[in-house]
Amino acid sequence: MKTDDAGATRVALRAMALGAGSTAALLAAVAAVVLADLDPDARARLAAALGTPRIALLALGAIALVALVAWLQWRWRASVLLPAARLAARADAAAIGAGSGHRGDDDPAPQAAPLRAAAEAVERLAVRLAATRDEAAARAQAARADVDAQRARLAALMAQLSQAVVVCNLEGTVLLFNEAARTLLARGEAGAAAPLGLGRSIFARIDRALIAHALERLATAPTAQCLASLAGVGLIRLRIAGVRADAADAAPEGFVLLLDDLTDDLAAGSHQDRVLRTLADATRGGLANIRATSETLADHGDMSPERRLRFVHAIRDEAVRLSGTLESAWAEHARTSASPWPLEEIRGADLVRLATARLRDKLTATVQHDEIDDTLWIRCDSFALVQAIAYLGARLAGELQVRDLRLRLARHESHVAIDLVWRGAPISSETAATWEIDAFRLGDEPSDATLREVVERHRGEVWFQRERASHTAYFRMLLPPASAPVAAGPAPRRAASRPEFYDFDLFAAASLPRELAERPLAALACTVFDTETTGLDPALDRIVSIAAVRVLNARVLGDDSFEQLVDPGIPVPDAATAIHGIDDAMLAGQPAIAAVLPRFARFADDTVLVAHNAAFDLSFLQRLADETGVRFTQPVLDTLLLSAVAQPGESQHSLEAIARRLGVEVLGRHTALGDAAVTAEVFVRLLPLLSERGITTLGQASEAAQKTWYARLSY
Amino acid sequence: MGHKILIADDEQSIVLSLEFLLEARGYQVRSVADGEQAIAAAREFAPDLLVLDVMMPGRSGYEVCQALRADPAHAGLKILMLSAKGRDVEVAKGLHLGADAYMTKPFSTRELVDRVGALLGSAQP
Repeated sequence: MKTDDAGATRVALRAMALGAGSTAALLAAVAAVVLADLDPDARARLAAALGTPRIALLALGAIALVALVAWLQWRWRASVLLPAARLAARADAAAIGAGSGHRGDDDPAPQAAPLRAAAEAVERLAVRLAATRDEAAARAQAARADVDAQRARLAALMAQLSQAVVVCNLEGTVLLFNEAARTLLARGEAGAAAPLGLGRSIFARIDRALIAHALERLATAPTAQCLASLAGVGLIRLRIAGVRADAADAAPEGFVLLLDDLTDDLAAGSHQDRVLRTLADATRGGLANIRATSETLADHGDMSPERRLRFVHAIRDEAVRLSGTLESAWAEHARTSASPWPLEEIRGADLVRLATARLRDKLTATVQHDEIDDTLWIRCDSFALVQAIAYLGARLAGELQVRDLRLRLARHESHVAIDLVWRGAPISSETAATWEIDAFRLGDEPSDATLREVVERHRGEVWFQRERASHTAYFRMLLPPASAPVAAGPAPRRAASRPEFYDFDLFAAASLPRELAERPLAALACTVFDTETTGLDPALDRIVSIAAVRVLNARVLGDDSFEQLVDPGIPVPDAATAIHGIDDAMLAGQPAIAAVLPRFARFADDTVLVAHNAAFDLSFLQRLADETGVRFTQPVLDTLLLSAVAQPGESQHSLEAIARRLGVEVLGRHTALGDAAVTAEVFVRLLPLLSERGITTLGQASEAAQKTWYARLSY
Repeated sequence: MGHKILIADDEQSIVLSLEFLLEARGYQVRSVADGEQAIAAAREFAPDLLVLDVMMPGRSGYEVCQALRADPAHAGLKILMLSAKGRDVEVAKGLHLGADAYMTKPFSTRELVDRVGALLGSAQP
């Protein structure tokens, strides 16, 4: 539309220019025709009337008229047409948002008042439009920043979870996972071969049929769970829940997987099972002997004293043996069994502070606590313990009008004792026993738990006791101690950079057109790779190093990389070592390409390959296809070609030159991983430049790249 | 006349053996089968030593122990606690509540008689 308007303006201007020149000729022609039409008489009368000097005057008048018309036309063009055209162009520019809010200095203001007014109106409109546009952009940016912040918060939250969590879209593409999931699924050879990564398929690690089965069950239940044997890990429990965008009854867009490693539980369970079975077998045998012997004794009172004594000794021996069996089984059980309740280590001082705060919050009584040894830790359900203490405090204050409570926590031989101490009125042991088994009632917080149950859950004991000398009484909870935990929660993998563990844009990826060529460049999963070689001839030279980083939805995933030195089987020429710094000594003991390439192919599976000067690297890979059986059939993009498409005015398209132009910091150049990382960054920054040229899909990029001059280069 | 011993246990077969063995050692022995009776018998019989089972119907051995320890009339009473509960927190609880000794079932009867002798060794009949 813009082009059409400008064209029309140009046509109009050209017509006016032609008009100014031709007006004089037109006037002369009119005069000639008028004269020619008159009869000789009339002509003579005319001549007489005008006279010769008058004819000269008439000619002069005609010339003046022509000049006037020409001047008028010039004025018309300068003050109306050109400003109008400029005005149209300016309005167009404002409409598409080009240029700043104000017109350029080289555009003079129109002189005609109505036009000037129109120009000023357009200018005001342009300024207002630009302001509106800026405001909309700022709002969009703020919204985006908000979303990003929420994502970052979610990622940070997930990273702290000790439970392994993976979020996928319905196609099984991984959108989000945490460190616990990465660690769990990285175990074993299978884990090394198919590491968890954004945009990768979860089905590489977990049976697709199993997940499909669980998803079917989600149709009727909010969550489903199943057990799976996972290569390299053992038995895991999978819990799965649907991810729904809005309404709860909407079809899920994806699913959340919670993974539990049951291997240790299973080992503990089978150990307990073995202890129990051994005990049962031994008891059964021993009891059989005692029962047979004692029944015989009872039924045969007439046996000889010597024989009777032998029977009696047999019973005693069996009983002693049974006692021993029981004791050792009990000791084994106590050594290996943990409370089935989820307990956590907490510093004793922290627990007491929590309980004190809770008591102060709930009661009017004064609550104090003693100094507590900071090295004391207990393994407990801190919520339940604090609740238990608050419950006791509430009953003491409510039923005995106790006004001063004190909490203390101390080591007692091999245990930790938590005491709730008060002065004065003791309670009877019957009352204490009742309090132990009454359900907690804490104001408006109903609970089914009892003091006894909470304490037994901790494998501890509770009792009430008086200290006569100091006129105090206390409830004591005696709990097994714990050592300070080695690490609280999963340690962050890298302090400097937060792993890029989330990408919800992949939810949308599920609905992308299946046709690969139509896939937007900005929504591709790419493997950006680079190789270092012994030389430049694919027929003779060999790969010594191959590395890759992944780009997903136009983001470089720095943490998801591949890097491997390769023993080329031939010496590395000094000239090559001079470039990449890799020498024979470094390659000794490294795997051969036949072992490396299948791993690299798995890493690059289901992604678009990207390389700088891809033809070079690909020629090496293609030559290896027969030897290794590994073929790379996925689409390939070349940053060299894309750069030539995006910046046709530039003559330099070396990786360094592009990186410099696009402001990519170059680190570790001429290591395969360093170059792959630079190439990935360059690729991502080329995408908006390509988009400006209307190249937004994989198909368009491939086509444009083919057409560039560089595409005709062959290696 | 020997020391007086009260046995509080609801398991009759062990009471049978204990009564026999302790009487054979010259002690005066009485037995009861629950916590209430134990407290009543302690007052009335005034034993020098109480063999007290933890798990009894009604008031538990812990409660009996606590009640007797709270009563100055029984200041000199020795308490030997018996229990089929063998966890160390339970042993600790028994000792904290005032038991002089705690034995876990099953035990050797000889060992029990020896412990009784040791506990009463310092006490006046």
